[in-house]
Amino acid sequence: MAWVAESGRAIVSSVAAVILALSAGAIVLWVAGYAPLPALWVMAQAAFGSQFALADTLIKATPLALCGVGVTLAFRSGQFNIGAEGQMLMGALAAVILGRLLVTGWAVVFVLLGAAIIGSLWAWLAAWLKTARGVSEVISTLMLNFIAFWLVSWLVHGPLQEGAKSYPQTDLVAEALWLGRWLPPTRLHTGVFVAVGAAVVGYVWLFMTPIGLRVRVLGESPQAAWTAGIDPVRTTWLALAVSGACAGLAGGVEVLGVSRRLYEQFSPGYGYMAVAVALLARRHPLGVLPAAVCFGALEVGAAGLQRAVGVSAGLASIVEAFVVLAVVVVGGREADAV
Amino acid sequence: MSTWKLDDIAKRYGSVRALDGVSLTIEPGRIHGLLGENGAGKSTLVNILFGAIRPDRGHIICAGRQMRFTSSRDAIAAGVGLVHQHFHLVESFTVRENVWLGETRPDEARLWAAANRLALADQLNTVVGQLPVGIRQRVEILKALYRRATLLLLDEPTAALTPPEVEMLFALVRELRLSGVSIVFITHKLREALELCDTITVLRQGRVVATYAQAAATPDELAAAMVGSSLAPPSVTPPPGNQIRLRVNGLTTDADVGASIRGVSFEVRAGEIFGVAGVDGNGQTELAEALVGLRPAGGQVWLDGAPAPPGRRARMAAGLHYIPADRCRAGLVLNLSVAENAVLGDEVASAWRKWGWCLDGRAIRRHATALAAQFAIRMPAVSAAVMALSGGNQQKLLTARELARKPRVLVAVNPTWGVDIAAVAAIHQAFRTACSSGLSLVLISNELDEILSLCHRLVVIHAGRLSQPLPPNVPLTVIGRLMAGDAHTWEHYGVGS
Repeated sequence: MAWVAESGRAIVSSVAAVILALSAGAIVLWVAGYAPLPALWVMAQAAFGSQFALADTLIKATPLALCGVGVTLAFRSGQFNIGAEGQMLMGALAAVILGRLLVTGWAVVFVLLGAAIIGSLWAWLAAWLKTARGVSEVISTLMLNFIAFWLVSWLVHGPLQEGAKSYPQTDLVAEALWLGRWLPPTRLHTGVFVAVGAAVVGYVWLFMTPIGLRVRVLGESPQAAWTAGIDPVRTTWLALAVSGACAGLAGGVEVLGVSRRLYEQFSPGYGYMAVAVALLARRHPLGVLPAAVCFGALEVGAAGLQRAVGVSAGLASIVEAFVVLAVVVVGGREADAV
Repeated sequence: MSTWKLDDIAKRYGSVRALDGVSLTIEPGRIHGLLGENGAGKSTLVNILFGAIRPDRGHIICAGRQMRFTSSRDAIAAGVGLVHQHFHLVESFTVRENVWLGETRPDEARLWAAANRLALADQLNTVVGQLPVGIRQRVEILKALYRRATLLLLDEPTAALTPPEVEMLFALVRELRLSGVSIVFITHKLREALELCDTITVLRQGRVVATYAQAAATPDELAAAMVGSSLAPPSVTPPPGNQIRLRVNGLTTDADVGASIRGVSFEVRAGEIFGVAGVDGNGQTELAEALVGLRPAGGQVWLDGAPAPPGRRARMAAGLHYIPADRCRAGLVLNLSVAENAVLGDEVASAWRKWGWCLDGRAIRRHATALAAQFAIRMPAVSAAVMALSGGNQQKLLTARELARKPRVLVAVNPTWGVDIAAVAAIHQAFRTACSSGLSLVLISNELDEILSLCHRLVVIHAGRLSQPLPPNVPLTVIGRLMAGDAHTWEHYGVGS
């Protein structure tokens, strides 16, 4: 089967990219005066060494995977959506507002649904700007990120600030809405399953439905899509809306599962990292899961390294950047396609 | 003036042997034809001679000296000039500016001398975008001559030309031969090779099959050498029925780049092959897109006496299907699989679905396998990307897909462009078979031979206008003049005269 060989090649080249990037990171460590191999070992321990470490990695991987699935779906439709950050923030905002209004346990579904809808509307704005006015989605999604960030910033300093008024943050959402922690004593929450579910549904949608085929045709060849009678406007809208829904869901899950409230530094840039996740996953929704775990582990590992040896957490960002570069270098054509 | 020799040139791309030990000798002051189907290795060979591709093994020898080309710059310095099939000209620059692109020390006197040889001296200050295609090609030749080319490589030079322009090119090439320039004339058209070339080398699958002196070659022999076997004689298209299948009345549409369609009317009967001949860019794409519902258009289109619904999908549902000119970008999606491409445009059909919402992969693959078997499409697997197929097999897939939808009317634009002879024969035969069971085919093609051999009636398109319908035995000169837009001929054969 051709697809077995093809996915095999994709996996090998992604793994190679990660190894290449880690080696580059090791060189950076060495130049900075640290022994690279022990340092990498500390990172691996911090990310995978215990039940807690593993849980931390998966908690970080959850929003990365949800945003990553969203970015992947947009990439497949030919839209370079780099606005997952803003879509996620808007989803989180919706979750916090709904989480103050709805207080019973079964409302979790509606809170998450609301987060997804607001995220998808935020992404649809960019789609509309593109189809109606020809604005590049690269520009518009990036700008919408800033708008979302400063909107959240203003809200948590002003109208939505907690009752105590001591910190720029909202009140906690109702406890009944908090996602269950199923691996106590770790903080690992059920949002992990939402992420896995989104990846599977995204895969099925993209590869097993007529609409998914249309989305991929549009992404691969807009002219062929047009010639085949595929409506480019509606397909673009749909793809970006679904993409934004995933990112919005990430915001909702992060609020209900981890932060339980909204504050300025709510996301350490999950939405931006998601672009790297999608690239490392070779734009495959199922590939997003291991790629997200990989990036989650990098984040957790770098934090552990900082605690243990005092290396700046910026190292994680450097390695992440190396991963993206290595994916493009090793991956060649497919990475170019986006 | 020197003899060029290629000695045992080989080039592989992955597992494909593009060239497999090619040796040939190009005599000075001769026109050397390089004949072969698409994929025979002609372009690779030319690019090696031009220094753009480095061979895996083998030598290029000029006047007994072995040449080492590391880039086209070296080849140009050695006197090689290449005229690409698609011109490399900056359209917003003048002819002179185009010649001087990349020159550090422009030499006006040399430019004048070269321009005079090509009768381009008056056009040196004209912006290239305003020149007709035939003249643009001459600007490419001017670039080569200005750089003192003594070996001129012409890659499929007649592809975009009208018959009169072809005649002018041939005359020019013969003149250049007299002045001692060696010419390599790359083509897949037998007739041209026989008419123009002193020597004809036939390439097939990266090897030299045979070399003929012009006098010794016959069309049948050349065709057999190109294909590797002799072809069955083409069957005759059965006569059409009487029922009017497609009626077009006063169709108008605006163009993005080509020519706007200005009120064209015609009728096509059931089982009829209706040809639209013309030089590219005269409104063919616009006409086709307006017919199939892609391009908003004024006027009316009737299918079997009923007005055709607007929109591409609605017209597809009404039985009006389309083979676009650009198979790689418009017809197929190269990165998607053969199976996925086989249902493209029809992906919502219930035949490809299970449980209401899910694509039935097995049914789709079975469909693609059946298409492949019916048209002898060679491919690694139905799950392989269409990119892995040769041009001929891609075109067969596209044709098979559209014919499998049992169209009432099929609009096909250049359906055999860049396809090998065997695939051309297969596609033509499929058209004839479909027409004998009632298909109306609107065949829009820049291959005049194709139109003349297939069509019951033909029209010529020029600047968005259609001529009267003509029988296929109309004198070639009339068609040529209509294609070139000769005002006098249009007075006779235009509509309403």
